[in-house]
Amino acid sequence: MSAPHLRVLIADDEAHIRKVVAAIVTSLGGEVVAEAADGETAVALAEELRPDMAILDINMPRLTGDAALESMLGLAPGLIGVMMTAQDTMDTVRHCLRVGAREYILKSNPAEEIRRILAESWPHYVAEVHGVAA
Amino acid sequence: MSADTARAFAPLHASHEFALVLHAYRQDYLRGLPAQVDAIENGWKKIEGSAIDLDCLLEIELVAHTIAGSAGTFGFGELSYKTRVLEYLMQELTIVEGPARKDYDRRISAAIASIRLALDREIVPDRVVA
Repeated sequence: MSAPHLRVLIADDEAHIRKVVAAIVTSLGGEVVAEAADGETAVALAEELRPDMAILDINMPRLTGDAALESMLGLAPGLIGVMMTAQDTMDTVRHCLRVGAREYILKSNPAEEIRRILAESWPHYVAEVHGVAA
Repeated sequence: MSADTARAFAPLHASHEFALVLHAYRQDYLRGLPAQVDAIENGWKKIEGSAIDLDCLLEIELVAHTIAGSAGTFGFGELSYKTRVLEYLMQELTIVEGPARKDYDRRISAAIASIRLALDREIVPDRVVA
């Protein structure tokens, strides 16, 4: 039996960023179940695949990441939403947290730092999803 | 190696593998940057000192926004910061009128030149593998 892990959906309109985030998720023991380049596709994939976590950019075509997260949480309230964005204004951060984002990570951080930030909370999320001790 | 030892080293292996993958992705990303900076420079040539072509302006702003957002993730902090400055200046350009326009044109030209310099500093033979 495989160890409990997180099934993750990644949404960002930039392919380079999706690849890096996928590498981060994989290196933490997670499984990337889907990638999307826009918000609408991300919501559709979340509805179909029911991931444990969604890592979302904000500025995306068709539907912004914060709006996408709101829709996803409407479908699956237990989803762990992580915003990963270049936007650092307090209004945007506040809005995303109000919508239900659990983490807010700035893309201006190097990938190693983003991985470190996610690694810190990862065991807690695994525990939350699978009901085991962190 | 015992199961316990293997478990203890697993995070290190994952971290090491991640570093290798990231290095490859970083090189790939870097290879695509000159074309994006070319697009900024060429777009700006069409706008500088003349009536604002909104499509062209938005295209430059979009490319700048994309680089500003992603360059930091790949460890190119200076490039990220400088393209963020350009993105801001391009947004301001839509509301600038009269004599201030010339000043903005100068600032934008300088910002683009500094982006090119920052990129040139990153592209040195030992960092880009063909």
